[in-house]
This record gives sequence, C-alpha cells and structure tokens, in this order.
Amino acid sequence: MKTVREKKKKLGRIFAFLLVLAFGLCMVYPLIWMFFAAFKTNKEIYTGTGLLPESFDPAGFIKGWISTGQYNFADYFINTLIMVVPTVALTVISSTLVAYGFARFRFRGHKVLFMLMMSTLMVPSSVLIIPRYLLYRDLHWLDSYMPFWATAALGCYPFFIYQEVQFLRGIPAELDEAAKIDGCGSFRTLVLILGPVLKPSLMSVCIFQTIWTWNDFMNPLIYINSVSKYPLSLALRLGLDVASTAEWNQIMAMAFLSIIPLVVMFFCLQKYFVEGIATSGLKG
Amino acid sequence: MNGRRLTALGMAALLAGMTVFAAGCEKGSGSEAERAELKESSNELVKSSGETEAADAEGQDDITLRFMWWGSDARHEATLAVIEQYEQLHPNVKIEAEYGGYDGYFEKLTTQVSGGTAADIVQFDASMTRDLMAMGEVFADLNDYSAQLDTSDFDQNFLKSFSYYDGRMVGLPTGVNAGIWLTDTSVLEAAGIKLEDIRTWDDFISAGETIHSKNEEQYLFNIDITTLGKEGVYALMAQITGKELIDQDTNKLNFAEEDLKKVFTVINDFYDKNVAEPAADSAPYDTQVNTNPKWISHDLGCTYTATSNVTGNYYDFQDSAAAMDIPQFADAKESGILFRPAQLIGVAANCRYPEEAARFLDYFFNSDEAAAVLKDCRSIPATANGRKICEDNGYLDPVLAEAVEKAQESATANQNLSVPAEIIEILQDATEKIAYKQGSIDEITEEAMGLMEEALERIG
Repeated sequence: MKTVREKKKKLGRIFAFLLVLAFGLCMVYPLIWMFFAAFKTNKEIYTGTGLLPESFDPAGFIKGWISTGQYNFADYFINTLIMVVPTVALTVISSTLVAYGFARFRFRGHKVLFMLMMSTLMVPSSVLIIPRYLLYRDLHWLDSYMPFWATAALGCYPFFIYQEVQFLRGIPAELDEAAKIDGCGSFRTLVLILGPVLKPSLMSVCIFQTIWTWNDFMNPLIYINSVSKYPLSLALRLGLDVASTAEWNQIMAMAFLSIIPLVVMFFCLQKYFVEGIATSGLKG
Repeated sequence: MNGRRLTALGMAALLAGMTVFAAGCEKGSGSEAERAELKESSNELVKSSGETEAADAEGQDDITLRFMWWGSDARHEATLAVIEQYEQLHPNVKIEAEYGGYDGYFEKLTTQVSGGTAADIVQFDASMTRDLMAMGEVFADLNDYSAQLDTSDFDQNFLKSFSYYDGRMVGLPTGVNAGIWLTDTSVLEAAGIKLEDIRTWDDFISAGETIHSKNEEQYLFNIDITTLGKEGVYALMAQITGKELIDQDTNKLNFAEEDLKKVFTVINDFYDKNVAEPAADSAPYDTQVNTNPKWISHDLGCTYTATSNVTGNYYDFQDSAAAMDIPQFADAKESGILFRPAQLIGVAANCRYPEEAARFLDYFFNSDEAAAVLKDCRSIPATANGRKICEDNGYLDPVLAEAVEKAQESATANQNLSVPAEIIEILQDATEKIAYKQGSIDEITEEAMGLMEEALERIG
C-alpha cells in the first residue's frame, strides 16, 4: 500500500518535472534558436525550419565582432559596462536613501512629496524626451554617460524607491528602536541594521536596473552621438538599414554574446530576486 | 567606543563592497572609468575651445565637422573610407562620423534639430524635408556655397524637383531611387508568358491567373500590403489622375471616390484572382518580400520595390532577371513610377564652417576617388560622373540600371513625398481589408474616403 502511494507520488513528480521542463524549453527556445542562427546563412534563416545549422562556421562571430572596422564589439562591451555599472550602483544607493526617508521618517509634506514622487511614475517617458534633452544640452552632458549616471544618482527611479519603501515597511520598527537605544544614528541604522535585511530587495533593484539599462535603446540613441561611445544596444542595430539585406548571422552572433552577461548575472542572483519581489509586498 | 566605531566603519565598507560586488561589478573600476571618462570629456572641451581660439586667431585652422547618416555595414565602411581620404587631403579637417541603423534615426534627428545640436552634415530622407524645414531653417541654402560645391553634374530637373524647399537648396540627392518591377522571366516563360506582352493591368492580372492555374504553387506578384497600400496606390492613382494624391496648396484630396474604387478594384483582383499569394501566407514577409521562401525558391514571378532596397542577395536569378515596364491603365495619364532621391545630404544651418562642409560634399559627390569607393552604397549615384564610374567598373547591377533609366524617362515630379502618415495608414488599412476580404469594394472605398477627408480636415 505504502509503496504504491510512493510510486504514485514519484510518478506525479516526474510528470510535474516534465511539464516544467517543456515550459522551460518553450521559453528558452528563441534564445537557443538565436545561438544556432548565428551559424546559418541568410537563406537558411529565411527558408529552413530546422534548429541546427548546416555547418558550424564561426565567421558570423568573427565578422560580427569586427563590426564596421572603426570600432569593434570589445569597445561596445566596455562602453556598456561604463554606462551600466555606475548607473546601477548609484541607483541602488540613491533609491535606498530616498526610500529610507519615506519609510521611516515623518516630516512636513511627507505625504505630498511621496504622492509627487509616485506621480512621476505615471508620466509617459516620451513626453520627457525633448525637455530632458534640452536640459542635458545646457548642462553639456550630451554625448556622455552623464544623463544616465546623474538620473541614477539623484533617485529618478520612482519604481525602485516605491519597491524599497514597501520592503522597508515590512521590516519591524523595533529593529530601528533597538539600534537607537544602542546609540546608533539614523544613517548607521540604515547601513548596519537595515542594510543586511534589505539585501534581497537591493538585489532585485540591481537585476532590474542592469537589464533595463543594458537593453535601453531610446535613451542612448538620443544622448550618445559618437560611435566610439555606443553601447551594445546601438551597436547591434548599426548595420540595419531600411530594408536592405543585413547579415543576420553576424547580428544573431553579437546579440547572443550581448545577453550572456545578463543571463549569468540573473542566474547568480536569482534566489535573492525571488525573495526581494515576494517579500516587498508583505507587511510585517 | 573607538573600537566599536572602527568595526562599524569596516562593516559599512564591507556592506558597500558587497552590494556593489553583487551587482556584478567592482566599484573601483566603475568609478575610475567614470573619472577617466569625465577627464576625457573635459579634455575634449579644452581641446575644442583651443581649436576655436586657433581658428579665430589664424584663420588656417583645425576644423571638426560632424557627419550623421544611417545605413548598412557596406555603406558605413565606404563612407568611412571616403572620410579618411578627405582627411588625408585636408589634414586640418576632422570629420566625426555619427552613423547608425535606420531605427530611431528620425526621432534622434528631430530631437537634435529641436535642441539645435544636429550634426553639421546630415543625411535625411526626401519625405522628411517638409517636416524638418517646418521646424525652422534647419538646413543651409547650398546655393550660397556654389564656390565650394559644384552641383552641375547632377540632373538639374532632379535637383529642381527634390532638392529645393521654399526656393532654398536644402540637400543634394545621394542617389537615384526608382521603382523597379523586378521580374524572374523564367517563371513567366514556364507559363508561356512573354515579358513584353504585359502592358496593362488587365494583361498583368491575366498573366497572374495563367501562372497560378499552370502551377498551384506559383504566383506572379510578390507584394506586401504595406507597399501595396502606399507605393502601389500612389502609382495606380497617378496613372488615373496624373496628379499627387493630395493638393499641396488646398490640402484636399486630388481624386474622386470612383478613382479610388478603380484603384481598389485592381488591388482586389490581385488577391481575388490569385495574382498575388494569399495575404495570410505572405503576411510574415511584409516589407521584406525578398525573405519569402517562395521568392527564394523561384515560385514568385515579380515584385515591385525601390532600387535602393535591392542590395546584396535580394535575388539570385541574375540570368533571368529583367525590369518589367510598370503595367498601366489603357488611358493612363502618367506612369506613376517611383522616382526620387535615395536620400538627401544637407548642411545644417547652424554649422560653424559651412564652406568647409560644402567643400567636403564637393569631394563626396564629384571626385572620382570617392565615387569609386562609394559605388552604389547609396543607390545608383545621382551624378553623371558617379554613375559612369560605377558602370565602367561593373559596380551596378544592370537590371537596376535599366529600371532607373526607364523610370527617368517616364517619371514625373508627382512623387507624393509629403502625404501625411494618417492618410497612408488609412490606405494601408483599406488595402488590408481588401486582401482579407473584409467587405465589399464599395463599402471599403466609401469608408476610406470618409476617413481621409476627416483626417485632412483635422490636420488642416
């Protein structure tokens, strides 16, 4: 009797596993296809339905990496890192500070300011393009990464602030009080006491902000003029004309390389990610 | 107390390090890079202000010009090579290339124009001239720099039709872009049809019926709804009315409902009589008809596109390729064939060294060396000399050259360059409805007429 039940349980598990596996494969398939398309000729891509290429010719990777010859993808990778890394670090710092302020302190205009901050979340970004562009022009920030760094440093990401406020509200205030009794100032309370508890939320900020900045096309397009400063998102479309025949294998090869860092980062941080999202909605 | 503070500091540093490390980066390198970048940009500022001082002081000067264009890798490489040639001939001139793909190019250009930060030399599309110039005096009048820039080698009628806005020469055509009815004669011949026999739309439609009846897999016309609803309607309508779609002065439609019905009837026949592949089957290849597997396997007879689109491996039937004459109505007022600049290149009105920019354009358009490098990367050159160099060296696809010649003979200046996007969308929607049989021709025509009149009134 017992063995039958165990057997049933095992079967159920195998079934569940297969189901999840099938779903997973469906989700990953486009990426796998992209990898193999890097080895295909245009004709194969247009006409073939098979996944595997006729031959594994690395020319797509080599030629794609060289790009137009003036700059290669090593430059574009470095540019992307220079753009993304400080942006993410500054976003984490600034949104934590602002969120701490809103979550733990009562000050005059607290509610109005919070509403104001939240309302900026509703402003469609296309409305902001021209005014922002004019502002950065007057600050001489065009054709540099300052528009990305400065907005990150000044807490211009209400989405992350809101997420962290919610997370902080879930942390019992007793923690802060205990720290205060022990002589901790408000800043040290944040860094030493709340910081470690906040970690999952900070991780999800890191993941989101890295992916969003890494893949951002519109903002670099508008703010960056020099090809020498192009990040990957612009470099990938460098050779895409209106309708002319692009070498898709090169584009697929470079697109594949450009997502590797994101995929690796996501897998390294995913356990925090789920925690960060799942717990920020709870109230303690 | 001191000890505790130290530990606290240490922990804070550790935490900061941890957070940043977890972000997949090292803070040190990030901020160093940041500093290096800032330093670099401040150096640049110093450099450029130094440049202007030198310029003011001596008149013989280091000049930096920004040149922005979009295109494919081949175009980027050729243009960069020409820039290099020019810089070697003029060591005091530095040309900064700002190139990219087509996606977002006009969003970027209009943002820059409204911020007054557009590049000195700008490639743009002829259909954008009106919109760009409506934002102010965006481009300099190239006639002012005729001492530096010789435009005599261009077809003067072509310049008159497309280079001028409000009496100012705002840009020079990079190349000639013509409509081409690229035909695989072997598909036609297999069904016993001769290319010369297709003269009218009736001939075209009956040829399509014959091809499909002889081989179920095959169709005559490889076309997508986006092109058919725009360039297709332009051509058909021009044949009926001999005018632009919309009157530029009155902003009213230049055709009557029965004219539109006539156009839509032809389009309906394409789908109804199996002249074109069923819309549902060809939909994935919209605007990319050359990627249709049936085109690659030589089961489609011809396509209507612009010569500038036919690059690289657009088609592979070189031996049986021909440029068909555009089919016409028996009483057509004109051919309606597409004939316009591939792109235009202009000099920004706020460029600080317009003479130098004009001198570069002179080299770009008129020198043999540049023409030999640029080849047909911006379609078939618009200058007589450029075209000759390409022809002599065999850089031009003969079918494309033939199509350009045909278009040049019969095309008029009515090229519908500034039809509002809303009108195009209404026409394309109507075409889609016809292709998918979502109503009778009368209903669809009436609805489209109403929508267009309403839209024009609104845009006013």
